[in-house]
Amino acid sequence: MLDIRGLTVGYGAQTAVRELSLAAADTEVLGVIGPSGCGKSTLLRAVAGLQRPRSGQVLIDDRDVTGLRPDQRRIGLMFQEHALFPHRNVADNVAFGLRMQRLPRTEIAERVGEALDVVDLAGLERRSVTELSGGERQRVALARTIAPRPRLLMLDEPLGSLDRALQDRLLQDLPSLFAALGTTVVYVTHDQHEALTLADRVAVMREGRLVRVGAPHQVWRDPRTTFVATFLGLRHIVTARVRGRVVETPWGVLPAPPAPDGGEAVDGEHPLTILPSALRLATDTDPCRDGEHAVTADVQGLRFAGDHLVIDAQPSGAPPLKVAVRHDEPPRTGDRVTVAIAADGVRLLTEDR
Amino acid sequence: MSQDGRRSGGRAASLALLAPPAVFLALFFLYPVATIIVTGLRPEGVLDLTVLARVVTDPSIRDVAWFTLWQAVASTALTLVVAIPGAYALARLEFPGRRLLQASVMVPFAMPTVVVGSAFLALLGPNSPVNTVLTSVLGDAAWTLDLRRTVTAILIAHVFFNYAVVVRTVGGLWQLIDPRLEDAARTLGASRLQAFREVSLPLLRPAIASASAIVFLFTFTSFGVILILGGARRATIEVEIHRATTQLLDLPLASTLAVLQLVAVVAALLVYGRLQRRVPPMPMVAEAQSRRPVATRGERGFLGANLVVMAALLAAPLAVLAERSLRTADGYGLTHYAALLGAEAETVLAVSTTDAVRNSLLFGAAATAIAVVIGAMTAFGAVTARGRLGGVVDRALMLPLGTSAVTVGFGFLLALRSPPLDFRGSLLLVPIAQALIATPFVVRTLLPVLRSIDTSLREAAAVLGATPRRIWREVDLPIIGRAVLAAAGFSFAIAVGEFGATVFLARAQHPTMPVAIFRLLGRPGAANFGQAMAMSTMLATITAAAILTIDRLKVGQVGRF
Repeated sequence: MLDIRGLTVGYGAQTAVRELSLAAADTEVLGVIGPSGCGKSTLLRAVAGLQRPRSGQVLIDDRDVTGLRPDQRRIGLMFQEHALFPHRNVADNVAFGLRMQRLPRTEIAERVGEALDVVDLAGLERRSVTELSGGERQRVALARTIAPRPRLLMLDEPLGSLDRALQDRLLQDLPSLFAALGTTVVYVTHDQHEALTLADRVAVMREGRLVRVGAPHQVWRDPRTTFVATFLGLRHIVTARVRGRVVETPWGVLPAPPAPDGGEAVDGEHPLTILPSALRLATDTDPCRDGEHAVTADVQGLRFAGDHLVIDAQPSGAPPLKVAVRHDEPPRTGDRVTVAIAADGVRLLTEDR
Repeated sequence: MSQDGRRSGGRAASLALLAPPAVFLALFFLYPVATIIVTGLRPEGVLDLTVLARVVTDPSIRDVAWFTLWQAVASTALTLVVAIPGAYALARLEFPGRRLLQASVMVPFAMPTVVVGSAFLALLGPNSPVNTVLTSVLGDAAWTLDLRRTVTAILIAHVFFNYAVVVRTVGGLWQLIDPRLEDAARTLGASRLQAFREVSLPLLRPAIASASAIVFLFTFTSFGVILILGGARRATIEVEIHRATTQLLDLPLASTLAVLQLVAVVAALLVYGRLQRRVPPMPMVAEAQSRRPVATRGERGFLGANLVVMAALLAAPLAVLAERSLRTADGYGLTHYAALLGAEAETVLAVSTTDAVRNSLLFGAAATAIAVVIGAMTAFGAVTARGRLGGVVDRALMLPLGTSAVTVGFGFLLALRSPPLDFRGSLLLVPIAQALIATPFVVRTLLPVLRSIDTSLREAAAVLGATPRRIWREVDLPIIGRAVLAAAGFSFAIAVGEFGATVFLARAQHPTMPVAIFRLLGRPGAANFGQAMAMSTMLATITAAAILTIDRLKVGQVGRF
């Protein structure tokens, strides 16, 4: 549906997006993630036609729209901080795109009502947008973007300015909304959690380029590069040495995992990470099993992390391990514990930072 | 200290601050204006409406009033049409030299009217560069374009003057409006024009309205430009007041005209005040965020067209002025400058040129000192005052600005030459009149800066251990100091170039530079014209230097209404 081919965008000497190619299928929700300044927003602006690319093409439904003006593209873009028209009330903001299509007045009223129903704001039509709360503004912006029924819906950090509780609630509401709309969605965020929750597929950007594209669980379970691993918030990234069938890590010798490209790892130094899910505390009742490697460590601290705790386990002569434990009977600071590392949760990475 | 105590303390302080400006205004504005009204309506001590009746029914005066009105409306409309695209280019596009250009467009606004008049005489007369080009291209078939003494010349000169008012006022708001609002409109299917009409225009409306009101006021009370470019036949009410006073010696007629003009001006100021209050709340962005580099061919063309307009409209007159000051019967040279400094100029001017320059600078410095003190007191008083008091004084001080320089000068002439306030022969009259005209600009420059000092800055300084006096020195003073300097520079430029009031008050042996230029222009002969051009160039240089120096202070509010 959306097909971006070799797109390069920039001003003057600066290049924000470099030779980027990316496609999205019908009804797919594509999450574009990356640290701030990586070119995500510029990519959206170029697809929307607000910024002319230096080279490359944007195709929508197999039609080249690169030369079209933004108002000819019928792409919905929900802006960071929403860009609501301050001189118009809620209904007039939502009606704007419909008026531009010169729809009859009755139809505009009808579709404004529908859009406000979808975002659960019916009854606020006459309210000035400057009087709304952050969450309400966000929903008006969404209603305004979807009201003209764009072929492609793009959202730029839509939850960025909202407080945590509201973010969580909207994260739960958005998937059903996307499904109901049935359009292709490109969702840009710097928050990996948001993207992994919402997207069918995520694309990780770095300095204007794509570094990884895949389903959220694939990217999460197999980050492949130190950049993606760091960006996803994975810890335990260290340098390890592969020697034949084993890898020497600071925590001990483990079976060598395959190389990031799936082949056999070559001997030598590689960055390596341990997925959080591969770490647990071994106990007397639940000791280390086959395929697990035991590391003795001292508990240096505990941190509350919602439905679980994270302990800081310090082995002697190796970097600390962050291990998730349940709330019942947690170890105490100073306790000596055994951390079990599941060998199948160890990943080799390529260095790219 | 209790809440109440603090409040009444604030009130006492603001009253103490506002009292001197109020007295100044009463003495040097309200009293002269009252005298004008009395002279016009009660010439012999009893109410006498015959002059008023004569004025209202006189067809030639009705013509003057009609011309004053329509040329002001036309000038305002023309200025908006020419300057709004320029405001966009300077507010929204980023290109090399933008900062300098933004500062330079302010130069014409502060130019003395007399200089502008003589520049356009040179630019639009038979010896203009336009005609030189026409002749060289077409040879004998060329016609001579002579726009002197035409309405066209007056309108162009008015656009020259007021271009900056629109660029600063409208552009000043424009660069704070989030550009993503228009982007949003574009993605929702609006064309560039629709996005402007539906989004930017409504948001800019308050700025456009106040810029229009100010330009209307300035052109409605236009004096120097009309006096020089209008010739004998074209006159505004302002020029008519001057003529009635100096040529017809008909003070009741002059007073009645002044009263009529005052009524129109007050009405316009009331509209302005009302428009100022109706500013809708809107999300603002930092200035730099709203500017984007020139990227598309359309944008390059748009910018180019605006640069051409600015060059032709703003730079060409001043360039021609300088060129004509150097042109002599035999090639280019400094003959006119030498003549100005020589002895023979004294016969025309009654004093030497150096004296005129010295008068201008001294009067200007004195006026600046008065204007900055009065203006700063008003601004501080208005900020500390709660409720309406500050706004009332602030708006009252806008009155002299709109009332016109000629009314101020004429009022001084009538009121301050007889007891109880006998300033006859006092050299103070000129700087006081100039200060009265410059004060509104000081207030306009300082007030937004004072209002913008974030209380959290002071709180942060206090939490970090600064005493109240330290806070004043480390936080307030550096911010206000630059604004005061900018205001001072601007008042100086205005005072040095002031003509309308000064021409009434400067005595024969104490002419300022604008008055000397006007006298030179009134004499026949190429030499006098050349010397007028030379003195105009000197004055323009002083003004431009003052304005460009202010810009380095980066206060940003100067010239915004």
